[in-house]
Amino acid sequence: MAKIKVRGLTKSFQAIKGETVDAISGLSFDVGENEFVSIVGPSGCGKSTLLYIVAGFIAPTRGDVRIGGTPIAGPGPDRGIVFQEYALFPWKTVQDNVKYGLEEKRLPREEQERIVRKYIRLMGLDGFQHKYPKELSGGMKQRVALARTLAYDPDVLLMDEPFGALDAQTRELQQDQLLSVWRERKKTVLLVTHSVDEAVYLSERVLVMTARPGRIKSVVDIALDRSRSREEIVTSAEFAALRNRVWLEVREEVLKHYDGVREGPR
Amino acid sequence: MTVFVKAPGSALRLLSRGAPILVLLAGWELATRSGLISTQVLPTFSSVFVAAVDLIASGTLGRHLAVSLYRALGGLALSMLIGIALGLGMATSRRVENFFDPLVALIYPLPKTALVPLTMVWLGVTDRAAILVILLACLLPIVINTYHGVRAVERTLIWSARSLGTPTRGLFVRIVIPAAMPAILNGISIAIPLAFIVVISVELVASKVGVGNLINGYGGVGAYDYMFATIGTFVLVAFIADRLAVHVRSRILFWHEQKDAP
Repeated sequence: MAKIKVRGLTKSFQAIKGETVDAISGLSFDVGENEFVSIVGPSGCGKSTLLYIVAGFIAPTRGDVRIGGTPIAGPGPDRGIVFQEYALFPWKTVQDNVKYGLEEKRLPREEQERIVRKYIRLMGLDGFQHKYPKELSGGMKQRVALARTLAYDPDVLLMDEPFGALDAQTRELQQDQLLSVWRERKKTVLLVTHSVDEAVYLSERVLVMTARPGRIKSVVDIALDRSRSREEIVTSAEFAALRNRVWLEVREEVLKHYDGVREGPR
Repeated sequence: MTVFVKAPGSALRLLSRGAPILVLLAGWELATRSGLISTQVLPTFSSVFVAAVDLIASGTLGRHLAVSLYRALGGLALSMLIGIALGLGMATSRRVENFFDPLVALIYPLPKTALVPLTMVWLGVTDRAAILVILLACLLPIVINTYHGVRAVERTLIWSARSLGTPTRGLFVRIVIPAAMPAILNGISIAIPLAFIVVISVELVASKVGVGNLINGYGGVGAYDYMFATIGTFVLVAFIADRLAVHVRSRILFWHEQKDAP
């Protein structure tokens, strides 16, 4: 059974002159239990909007989102979010950021401490427990954000350009860390990115969105042998073929959007 | 606003910071002693210094300073209480905002000391009248900064908290107030000098005691050395209060990332 089920999702915004503009329009897809799915598309196609609707932060104009068969009503403990800009609580230490959701769950104190220690270790944050976010690098902040979400233990991980603000080397390390966490913890992941390479490297399936109003343009199954190292995967012919296919699909939409802009209103 | 920065060689730094003041004081002493400026117009610095020592030793200054500080800090404390509540209310409730917005816009450009004649009629020449004017003067920077601070809280912070289980009603205390704290404290640090400025202004006009009244009294009888001594010591007290506030602020906001820092 599908873990995330999205049907006929439409989100309209009021534009300046009173007309309504559809950010996404009649969008449907499923994400299976423990599946890793990425969404790519040209900028402004509404991929973040889609993620925020699934997270329950904004309400759709029309359509239906179900998690494990239950319609969503706002944010819930079944879904965790990781943002590009990390969104750590700057007045809290690393440890207290990770602990935040556990306090809200009213877990016993020893239990909280145990879970915090576990995820601090898992994310390689040992020795940084008592640091404040401002003292950390971007990559570190990202790991704290992921640790905070994982500690809360949601079934579904929603990720909005999680590595977008990182340099290329850090980004690759974090991607591999995310993959190993995903394999160990058994999570359903829906990740939004503008990087085709990232989507193909990480996911089991890639959804390509059309230019605004966003719809699902195509679904690409990524059947890669994951037992290999990163070097072997990214240099393989299959990876290149899949990457090119997704890239061409996105490219087509980017150009369509660009032509629309160039022609402008008549 | 510049701040004394703790750094190696801070004695040297302090000296270089204090140099302009030392030059000014030396120039003052020289100009008045040499007769370049008549002591009828400006007393010598040394006579002012002697007067200051006398004012402090006799307890006169202490008595009046206590009254002025009571008024300034009382007005400031009330403005913090009301200003933060109002700013939070306006930022989170459309109804509260619609009600208070015109009032805030209206009193914003008004020189608050212009209200002194009115408060004298209402409350007489009392501490309460002075505190009311100081309260009004300090209120707006606190309201406006609190309002904008709350409005500027990143939506991703709110969303993160929501998805980590914080109910909507819990957001205010757990997220909004701490996230808006830098802005709230900015408002307060703007209000502090205002409290000191306005208390003197009020006391110059409408008070039987207080530092402002003391300045007025010495000026009236031509005791300029005592007048300058009073002003000088008050400036020093206000300066120390400001440094203290900066210190407390950086203690509270040790986690805060100064975005505009070089």
